[in-house]
Amino acid sequence: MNSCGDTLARWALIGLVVLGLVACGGGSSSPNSSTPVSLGNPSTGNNVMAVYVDLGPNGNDVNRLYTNITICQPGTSVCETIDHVLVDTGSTGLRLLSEAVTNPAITQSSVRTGTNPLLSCAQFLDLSYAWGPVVKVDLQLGGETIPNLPTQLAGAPTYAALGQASACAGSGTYEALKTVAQLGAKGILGMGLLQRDCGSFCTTNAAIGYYYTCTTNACNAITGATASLSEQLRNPVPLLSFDNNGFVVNLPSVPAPGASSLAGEIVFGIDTQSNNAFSNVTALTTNSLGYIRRTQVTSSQAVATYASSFIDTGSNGIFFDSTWDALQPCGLRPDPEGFYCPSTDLALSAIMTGFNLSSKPVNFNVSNAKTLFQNRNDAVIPSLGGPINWIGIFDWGLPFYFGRKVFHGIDGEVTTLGTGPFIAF
Amino acid sequence: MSVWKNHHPRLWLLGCLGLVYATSALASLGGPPHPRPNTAAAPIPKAAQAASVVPAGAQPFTDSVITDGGGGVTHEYVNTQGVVFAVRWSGPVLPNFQALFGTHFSALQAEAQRSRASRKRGAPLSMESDTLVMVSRGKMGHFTGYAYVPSLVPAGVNIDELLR
Repeated sequence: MNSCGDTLARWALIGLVVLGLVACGGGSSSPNSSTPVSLGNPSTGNNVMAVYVDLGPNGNDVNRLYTNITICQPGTSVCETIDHVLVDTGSTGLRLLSEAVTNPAITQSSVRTGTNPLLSCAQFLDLSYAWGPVVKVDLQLGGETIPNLPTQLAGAPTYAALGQASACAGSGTYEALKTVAQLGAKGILGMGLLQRDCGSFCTTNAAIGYYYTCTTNACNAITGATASLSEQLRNPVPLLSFDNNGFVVNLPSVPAPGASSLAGEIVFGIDTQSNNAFSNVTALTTNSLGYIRRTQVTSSQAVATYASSFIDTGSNGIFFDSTWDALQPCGLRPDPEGFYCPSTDLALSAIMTGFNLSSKPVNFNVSNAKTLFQNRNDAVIPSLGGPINWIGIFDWGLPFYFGRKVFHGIDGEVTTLGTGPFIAF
Repeated sequence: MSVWKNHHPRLWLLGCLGLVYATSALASLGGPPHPRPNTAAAPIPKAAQAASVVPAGAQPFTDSVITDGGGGVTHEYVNTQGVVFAVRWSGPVLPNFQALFGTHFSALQAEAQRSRASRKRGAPLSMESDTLVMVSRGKMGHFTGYAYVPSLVPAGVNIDELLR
C-alpha cells in the first residue's frame, strides 16, 4: 500500500528496530514482550483450515488474518503452497498477486478458453485496486479440493497498463496493487456472506465495472464485459463437496495488551459435523450486502446508533465514529494516525441487531494505539480501534473475532440456524 | 467506472468530445456541475432546509443527479451561484473521483496515500478540514460516500441531514 519512498522508510524503520534490539543486548526480548496464543481445543477433520495472525510478509502488520493455500494447475499435480494469503470476510473471491505465484504454469489457464481473456477489477477505499485476468486453479481448502476455481491474478504485467488506463484505476489516478509489500499479503481469500463478487447484475450488464475483456486478440484495448455466474469470482465455501453451507471462524481470546501471534481455525459447514455444531449462539440476519441492521453502543456518557454495521476480518481494528470525549484520535504520523489514542483504556458495551431483530451484546475495549504499538513484536492487538468521521458506520474488524466462534451463513445456503446471509455467535 | 463519461453515447455522437472534456476540467466540487442528462432534478429532502432561513417556495440549492449505466448514482448539490458545494455517491464501484472532486481531488488523493502508508487496513476513508469534509465507505460491491466544501454550503442548509 506504499509508494516507493514509504517502502524504503519502512525498511529503514525495520532496520532501526533490529539495530535497537541488538543494541539492547543481543536480541533479548523487550520488557513488554508477549507470547503467542492458540486454541485450547483445536478441531480436527477434513473440513478444518488453519489460520494465523503474525506480523505478515512485511514484518510490521497487525491484526491481519492469514492462511496458507495450495493451488494446482487444473487437473494436474503441479501445485504450490502460498503462505500469508489474507482471509477476508468482507470481500468475495480468491485474488492472488501475480508476483507471489512461483510457477506460472499453475495460473496459465484462462477461465475463458478460445476467446479473449476476462479481466477483473476490485477497488479499495484507499484508492488502490486489484486488476488482472481471471484464471482457474484447483484450490485445496482444508482436506478438500475445489476444481477450476475462478481466481484473479492481480498485477499480472501483461495487462497492467490497460488496467491503469481504465475506469478501475480512476483513469490512471488510483494505485495498482502489484506487490506483496503493498498488500502486506500474497493474496486475498475473500470468503464472506455473499456467493459472488458481482452476481446476476454482471451477467447482463457490461458497464458495471467489475469485468472487462480485450477488444482485439492482441489485447491492446479493453471494454466492459458481462461475466457468467460460473466465470465470476466466488466465495469458495459453497463449492466444497461437503460442509459447504457456511463456515465458522474460531479464534482464541487474546489477553491485553496483545500477543506476538495467534493460531486459530476456520471450520467449514454449519452443524454438518460435530466440529461445527453450535450452542448458545444467536443468529443475526444481514441484508443482501452483508450488513446487519444496526449496532448500538452505550456508555455512561451517551448512546450511539450505527445504522451501517458489519463484521470483517479484513479490517484490522474496530472502526467507528466516537461521540465520547475520552475517545480521541491519535495524532498524525509518526503517531499511529488513523487509530484512537484515549488517555485511559475505554470499556464499551454494544448491542448488535440483525434484520430479524435478534440482538446480541458485545463488550469491547479501546486502548491507546500509540502505547499498544510500542511493543513492535505484537501482531495481535485486541483493543485497537480507529475513527470514522461519520456516525452511521460501525466496522467490526478482526478484534471482534478474538475469543469467539463466529458462524457465517452464506447467501441462500440452508443451515439449522436458518438460511443465509447471517452471522451467529 | 466514470460517473458519466462512458454512458451518454448521445454526447459522443454529437461530436461534443472537446466540449465534454473542457467542461469536465471546470465542473465538479467547487465548480459548476457536470452536464446532466436527466431531465428532472431530484426532490430536495425537507429536513435539509431550515424553514426559518429559506424563503417559502425557494430552494437554496439544486440537486443534479447523474445515473450511469452500471448502477452508480452521483448527486451534485449546486448553490445559487451555480457552484457545486457538496457531492454524494453510491454504486457497485467507486466514482471517478478526479472528475467528481475537481480541484479537491488532490486532497482526497493525499488522504488515501496517508491511509495506505499507515498501519490501518481495510477501514473507511474520511477526512475533515476547513476546506473539505469527506467520507468514503462501503465494501466490495457497494460503495457510498459524500464530500462537501464547508465555506460553499448555503446558509440555512443542514448539511448533515442533506448528506446522511
